Amino acid sequence: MNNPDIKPGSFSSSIAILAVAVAYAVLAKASFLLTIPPGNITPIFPAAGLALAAVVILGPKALMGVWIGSFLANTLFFLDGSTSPVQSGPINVLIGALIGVGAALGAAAGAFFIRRFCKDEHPLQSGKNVLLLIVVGAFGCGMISPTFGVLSLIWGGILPWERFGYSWVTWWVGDAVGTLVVAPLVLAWQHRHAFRTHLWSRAEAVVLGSATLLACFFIFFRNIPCGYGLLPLILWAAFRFGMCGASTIGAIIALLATIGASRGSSPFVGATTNQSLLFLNSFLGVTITSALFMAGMMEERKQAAERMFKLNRSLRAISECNQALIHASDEMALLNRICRLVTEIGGYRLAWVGFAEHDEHKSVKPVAQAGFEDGCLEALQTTWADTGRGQGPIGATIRTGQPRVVHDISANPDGAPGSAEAFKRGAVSSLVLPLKTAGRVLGVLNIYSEKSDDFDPEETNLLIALADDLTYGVVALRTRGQQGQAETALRESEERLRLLGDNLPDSYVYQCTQEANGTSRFLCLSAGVEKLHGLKVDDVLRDATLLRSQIAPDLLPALQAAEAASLSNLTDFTMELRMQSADGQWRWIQVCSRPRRSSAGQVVWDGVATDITARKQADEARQAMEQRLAESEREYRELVMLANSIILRWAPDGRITFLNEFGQRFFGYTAEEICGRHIVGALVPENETDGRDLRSLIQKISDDPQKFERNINENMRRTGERVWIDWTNKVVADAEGQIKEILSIGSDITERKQAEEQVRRLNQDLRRHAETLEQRVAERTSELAAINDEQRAIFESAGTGIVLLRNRVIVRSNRKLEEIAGYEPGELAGKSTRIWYPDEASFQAGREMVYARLATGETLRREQQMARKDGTLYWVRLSLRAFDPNDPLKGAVGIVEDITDEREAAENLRQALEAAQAADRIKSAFLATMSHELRTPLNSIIGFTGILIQGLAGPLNPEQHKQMSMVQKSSRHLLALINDVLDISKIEAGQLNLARAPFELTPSIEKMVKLITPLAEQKGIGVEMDIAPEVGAIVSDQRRLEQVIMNLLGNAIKFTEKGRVRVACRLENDHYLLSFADTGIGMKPEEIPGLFQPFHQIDSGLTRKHEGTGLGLSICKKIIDLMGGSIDVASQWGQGSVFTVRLPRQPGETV
Amino acid sequence: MNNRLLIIEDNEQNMYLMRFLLEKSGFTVIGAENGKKGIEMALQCKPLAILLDIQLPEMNGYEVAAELKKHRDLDEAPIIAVTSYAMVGDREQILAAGATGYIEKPINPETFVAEIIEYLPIKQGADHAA
Repeated sequence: MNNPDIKPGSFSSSIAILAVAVAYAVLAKASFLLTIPPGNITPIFPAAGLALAAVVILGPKALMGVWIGSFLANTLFFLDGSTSPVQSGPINVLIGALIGVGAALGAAAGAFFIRRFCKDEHPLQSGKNVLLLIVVGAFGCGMISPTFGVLSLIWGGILPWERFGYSWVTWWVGDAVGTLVVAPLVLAWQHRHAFRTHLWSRAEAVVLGSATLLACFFIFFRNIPCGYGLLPLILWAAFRFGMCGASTIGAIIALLATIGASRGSSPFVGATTNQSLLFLNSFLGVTITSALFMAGMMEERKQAAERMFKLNRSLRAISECNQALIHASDEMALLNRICRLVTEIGGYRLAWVGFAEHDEHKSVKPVAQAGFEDGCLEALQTTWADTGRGQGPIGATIRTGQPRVVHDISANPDGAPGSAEAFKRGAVSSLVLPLKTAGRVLGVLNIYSEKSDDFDPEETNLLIALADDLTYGVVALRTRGQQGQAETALRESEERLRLLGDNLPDSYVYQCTQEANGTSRFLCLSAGVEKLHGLKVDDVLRDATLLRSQIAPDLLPALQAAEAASLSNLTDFTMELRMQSADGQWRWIQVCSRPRRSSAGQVVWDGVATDITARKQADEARQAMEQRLAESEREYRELVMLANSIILRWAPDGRITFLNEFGQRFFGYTAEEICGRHIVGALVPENETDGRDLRSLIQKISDDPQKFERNINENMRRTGERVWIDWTNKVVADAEGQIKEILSIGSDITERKQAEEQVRRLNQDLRRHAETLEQRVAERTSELAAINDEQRAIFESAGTGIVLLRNRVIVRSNRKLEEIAGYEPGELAGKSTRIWYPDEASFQAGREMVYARLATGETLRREQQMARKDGTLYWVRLSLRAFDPNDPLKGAVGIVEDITDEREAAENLRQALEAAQAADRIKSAFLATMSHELRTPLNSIIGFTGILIQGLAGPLNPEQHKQMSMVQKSSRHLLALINDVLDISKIEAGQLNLARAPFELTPSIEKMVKLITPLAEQKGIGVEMDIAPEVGAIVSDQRRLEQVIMNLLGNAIKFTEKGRVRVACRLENDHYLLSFADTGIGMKPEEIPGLFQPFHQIDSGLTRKHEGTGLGLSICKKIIDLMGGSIDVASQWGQGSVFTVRLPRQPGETV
Repeated sequence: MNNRLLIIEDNEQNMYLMRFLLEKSGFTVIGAENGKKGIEMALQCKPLAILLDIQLPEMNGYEVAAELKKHRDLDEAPIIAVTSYAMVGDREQILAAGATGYIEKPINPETFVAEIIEYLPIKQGADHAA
């Protein structure tokens, strides 16, 4: 139970016990004066109060003192026989001991409960506690002592049982009231805070005390019934002086009342003294209870008010401090202000701030303080090093960063030097707060209070918050300070820059950018723009077009182009712009800027604009002058150019004074050579080639140059070469008008002259030729005439019509043509070719076609129908040819043949041919149809008989089978006949067309052999094949060839009874030789010729056996013939036959 | 397994004959008596092969063959011309028109089926090989 208000160790225990015992004994003894016999029961027992208070304050050890005191007092009382009815000694001791135990127990119980329920508060701190004290301590536990005491007295015989009640009540009342009076008194005075010992308080206390004494005197000694007067006094004491006052006044009243009552002058009078005392006690009890209660409430209220006041004070202090922090601009001032606020508003005694230095001493530098004299703190040399001097709360706080509270400096005044000084100045408790930021402790804020225990946890937290805010503020100030310095530096540099920009003579600097939509915007502009353009900086910054609109409009395209180039290539932009400022004046402004990419990715130009008007003007003047100079140079050069003519100056006497360079080159003289020489002989020969006298000509010119303004004469080069020159002569007169010089300018016309000469010569030649030609022409004409006559003779005597056409008009036609066309002689001449044509349409059609063909240079051969004079139509064969293909109309000659008869014959022929072909077609169709028609029924016959014989339609009995077989055989024979007949017909009709395709001969032979093999086996005849390896492809009709092979094979087997049949094939001379050899009956020589005739059958007894159509071999022969081959037979009667077929590998054209 | 054969033939007896022989050999025979019907049937029934007479009323055999060949799904079915081969040139013409082969009339009842099988696609032919 750490009640901080109780100070253990203030007294050593034994002294305490002794003190308690003595005090208790004394008080008890005093009370025993008022005992009610028998026994020591007394209604006034202040010792009980002392006992309770002692145990509450000192703890259990005081119980010993209480027991000793009680034991002593009671034992002594009982040993003093005068007062006690008991005789023997030991009983008294025992009784005394028991009573002592009871007293101790009562005090213990009371103290226990009070401690228990008051916890850490003072028993008198609140109304609740006071009630507890009263009810439990005084009244409740006060029952223990009387119980013990009275019982022990009864047991000791001192007291009879009937008096138990009365005695117990008396004891209890006595103990209770005693507790009520004394316990609070002791507890209150023990707990008193440091009073503000105002003079007025003391005076008031004195007044109150006096008043109380006076009142008591009157009430209790003079018996004046103004007991009510005590009430205001108690209230006064309670309200103004709290628990101490209330309990003190209560005690005084109690004392005086008791004294008065014992003297019999109290207002509480009873039958007996004891009764009076009891009444008194009840009065006292009520009064004091009320007073204590009120005081307790007051105490509570006061404490709450005090707490609130303190809190209020602290909060206000903090608020003020925060205000100070917000408005702080100077760190030192801030810290000082804070210290002042803490002390003034916070109500603390002293405050100071020290920074933890990191020097070798680790000193704490005081930087601000309130309440100390100057230099005092510095002299302390506080340190936070972990050494002896640094062990105080400041050092600890700086090292650990945790606040430290010292509740009572007086307990250890030398613990820290600072504390000592503070203590000297009235500080009693202190709080050290660390100023820490980001884990670093900057320093400490020390606050000292006049009161002890002034830093409760609540307040401490507030002050910690204050310290943190302060730290924050200091750091912020420092940062701001740094910022402020930086800002100041920045502002200064900005100002410098601005001045720089604004003070430029005739220039201004700018910064511009281009918006996304292409418009310009100035980011920055120096003041020079006002002077140069008459525009305000702000206006231009707002609207760049104000400036741009001053630019001469004709420059805008170039400007935009240059800007665009600068933008896209990020190259420097330089341009001279003509701009009209606001006052109307035109200036030349040179703009020079460099683009860069800003951090935002935009392109920004930094540049300078300078007024270069003056420079420009100077430039222009210079340019103008240069131009003039250039012009005069040009003129001069032109002049010199003229010196593509010869410029000659010569004096009237004929001497040359000047010859220009061209002339020098032309004539071949240098200036030195020619100047001074006479013209004649140097440039001019004596005589022209034609003979003209040039010397005299020159003379004439010099005499009268005007007459010879233009003159052509021959000149001479240095080499002697003659040249012709066209001269212009001008007089150069002197001041008097005399001929000073003659200026001659000449151009070389030699070539022209030569050309002229040539022309003349050509003309001459031409004339000569013309004469010759005329002669020739005459000769020609006579020749032509002769030819013409010949021609006419041919013309007229021709057997076919001849016509000459020109421009589609019949120029001439011969007699024959006229006859053909049915015209009289001479009728056709001069007529348009239209008259020939049967109608306009044919004429038009004919024209186009005819002349187109003629233009190709070919002879047009055509058969067309023409009309006679009488309108009848006739057919002609026309051959027309143009004389000149390039101009067919100019002349064409045509031969006209009457082909009417021809055509008729042709027509007849054609018709006959058609008829024949038609007949052929009919034949073919007939054959095809017959072929088809004949075969179709056979299909059924052969097919169904085959089915029946195979038993597919059901079983046949042998007779049916036999008869069916006969039918089958006959139908097969019929088919063979039909096939052969058709074949023969075709062949005879020439309708048999052989296919022509390449196929392999060997497989065909093999196939046929395979087909015939069953039949051969049936007859017991072997079939051999001997095909040479070189046998390959043949171009022929596969089907027909196979038919032939089959036929021959069949025949071979047919006519052989025993032995074998041999088929052989080989290649010879590009022909295949197929041989079919059998070992049959053979043939007689006379039979052979007719073998290949149709319907030939070997007439022999065996004929019947051999079913055949008789057509086979003839068909074979025909086929082989058509294939371009041949078939032969060699046979021996009775031995066998060999049929040989010869076929070309590839048929020739004729097949 | 497809064993349908289509016969386009206008002559009743010829039709009967061929049908008899083929059915005896296990084929299913579908008949059509003219070209138009024949084409319809071919498209409907997708026969294994088509036996085609050349001399047909209205549409002749060449036209029918050409028409049949136009249809891709009948591409696989060989067209076998069964005809009384008359004139040279008929053969080339019918082969050019798309027939795979031809069999001459009058048919040989003993070998007819085998000859037909020759022209069938191999698998089916093997199953029916005599």
